[in-house]
Amino acid sequence: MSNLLEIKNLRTHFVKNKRIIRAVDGIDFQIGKGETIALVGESGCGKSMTSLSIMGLVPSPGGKIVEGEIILDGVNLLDLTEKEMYGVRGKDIAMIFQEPMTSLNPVLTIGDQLTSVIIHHLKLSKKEANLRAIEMLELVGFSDPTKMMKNYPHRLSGGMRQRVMIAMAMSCNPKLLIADEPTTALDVTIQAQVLELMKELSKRFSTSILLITHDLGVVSELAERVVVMYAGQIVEIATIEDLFDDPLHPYTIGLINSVPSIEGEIKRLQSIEGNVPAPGSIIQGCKFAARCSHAFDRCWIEEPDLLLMDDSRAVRCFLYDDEEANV
Amino acid sequence: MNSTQLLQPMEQTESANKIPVEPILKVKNLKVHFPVKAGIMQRTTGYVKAVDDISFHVKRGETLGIVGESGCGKSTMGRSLIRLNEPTEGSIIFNGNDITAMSEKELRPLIRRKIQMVFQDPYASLNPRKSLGNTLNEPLRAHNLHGNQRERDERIKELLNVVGLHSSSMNHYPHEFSGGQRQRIGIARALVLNPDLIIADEAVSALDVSIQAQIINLLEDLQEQFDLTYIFISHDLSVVRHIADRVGVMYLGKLVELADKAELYVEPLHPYTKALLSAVPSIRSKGAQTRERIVLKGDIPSSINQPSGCVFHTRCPVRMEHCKVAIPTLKEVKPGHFVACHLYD
Repeated sequence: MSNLLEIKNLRTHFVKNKRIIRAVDGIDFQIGKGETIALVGESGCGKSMTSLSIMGLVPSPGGKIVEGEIILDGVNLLDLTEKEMYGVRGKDIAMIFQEPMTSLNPVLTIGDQLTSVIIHHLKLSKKEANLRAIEMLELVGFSDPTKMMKNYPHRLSGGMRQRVMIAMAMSCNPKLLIADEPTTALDVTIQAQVLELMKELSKRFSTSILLITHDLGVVSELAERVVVMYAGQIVEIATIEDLFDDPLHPYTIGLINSVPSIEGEIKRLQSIEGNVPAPGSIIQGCKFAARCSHAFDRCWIEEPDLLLMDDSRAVRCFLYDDEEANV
Repeated sequence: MNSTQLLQPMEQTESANKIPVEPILKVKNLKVHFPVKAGIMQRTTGYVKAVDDISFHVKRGETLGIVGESGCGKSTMGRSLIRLNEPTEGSIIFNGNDITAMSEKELRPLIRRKIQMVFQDPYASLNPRKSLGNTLNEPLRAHNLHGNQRERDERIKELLNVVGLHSSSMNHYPHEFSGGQRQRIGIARALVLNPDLIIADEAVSALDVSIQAQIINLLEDLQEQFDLTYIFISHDLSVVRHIADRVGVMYLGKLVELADKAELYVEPLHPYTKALLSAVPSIRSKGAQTRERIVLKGDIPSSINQPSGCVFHTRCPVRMEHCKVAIPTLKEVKPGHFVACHLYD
């Protein structure tokens, strides 16, 4: 599978109160064509900042991509001018957010908002854009799309708004869809509807999806590969089967064990002690060592590298370091 | 003196002498309706039936989980149990006392001390300008417990240790704590008066999973340590399965099913419960069998214009003709398993 997106050594830093916060601290991963990848982690781990970096939407002033490459189909997005990025955003890469109400304009109809995107990117006439918009709304499951075109966002429920957002995101046939917590604000029955829809659309248009979420259940519904982040770094990359059947990194194991299951009985949840390190704190050695039950001397001094286990597997932990095994 | 001794009830409640099977809380035909006003005259044009004719009871020492989607009335129900929302109709009997019509003065020693709430966002329920010590001291002073300040401080310190915070955090302010720590403070605040019943409204929903597990474990430990009864309100079915003994499912202000957790999650009867459970995404692993998913069509109807008959008939995959007209009542179809659905008439 050829890669659609390659992220190489990306670092996005913030300056706050004269302190540098390393929100994204050197991450590398690839997304294949048509592949769905999930970026998992708890709040503050840098997963949303990664997606904003890809979109070129890092909040400024304050935030800055200080190093790295983001290569989409052979083009480094970081070399593009702001004007050129306009052509990429919405066309090549589209994004849907957690709270669809804040990303829809409350004073414009759904139709106006959809057609303006289509006219801008696909250079269609108003009439053609209208037809395309209606087609998209039908695709995301509205039974009366013509009527929906004249509606305002406040008249729709959360699930309907998210479907409008998906219609808008998919309307220009993006190569990559970034979905940042797309179902977190939705109820479970509505979440199920939206997940089914995303699955269907990605298959139909072979769009790659970068799914950002903290919900491991959603991950296992949608993704093929998973990237686990902790404190701005990748701690594990694995296929979905490997991740849930045989997690390697102590953080991943802790994360999976702390989720109560809908299916089975667990007597007691295994929580991860302590808290996520505060943003901007300087930690020597492994960033997870303070919460890790396997931490040994080396973890406190040296920082582990992301070790490649095989083609689809990588983990940042000394437990899997051959050097350790030989000692 | 260890923490358990310190936190023993200061006086024996009368209910402690009663037979243990007597439920701690009995709710009968509870209704909470909010008027909808419209026009310049602000006339009442309708009612939001947030809680509509709900009956259940809570056994001493158990955890009753209440699940449902947003707008189903689960929070309003929880709040009305301690009269934060005034019940429109029905009765709430706590420890044998009918509290539905009591005055605030009468409520104070009974309810304000013995039932406590833990909220979703602990930061919003803490006063940002009060140190943790002051926050926890206030209920003790208001209820005239623990005579002097030194004793009160002593108790607050013990309590902080119990919920896993350092006793030196007494002098800190809410903004200095992380989300998980704030929820521990929220729990400490609820525990300070030695309550019998704690209503936890989405108490772990705003937390990251690793922190969520810590708080769930803490709640379980405290229940054992202090013989607490919980009403655990949540939208997260997996968390409720983990923590609850019995589970009630709400939809549009109605209780549609109530059963032991083992029954409800394995053999749900109501079509809504079935759909709700099947919609929860679960972690895929080789051992787990794939579950069949029932995807409900459409959205939850507005609670102002509730559907006629069974409130669920607009989305129900197995609705019958008379579901549109007749309102189903909650009936016991198996021992301890209640369901409100015409399929089981």
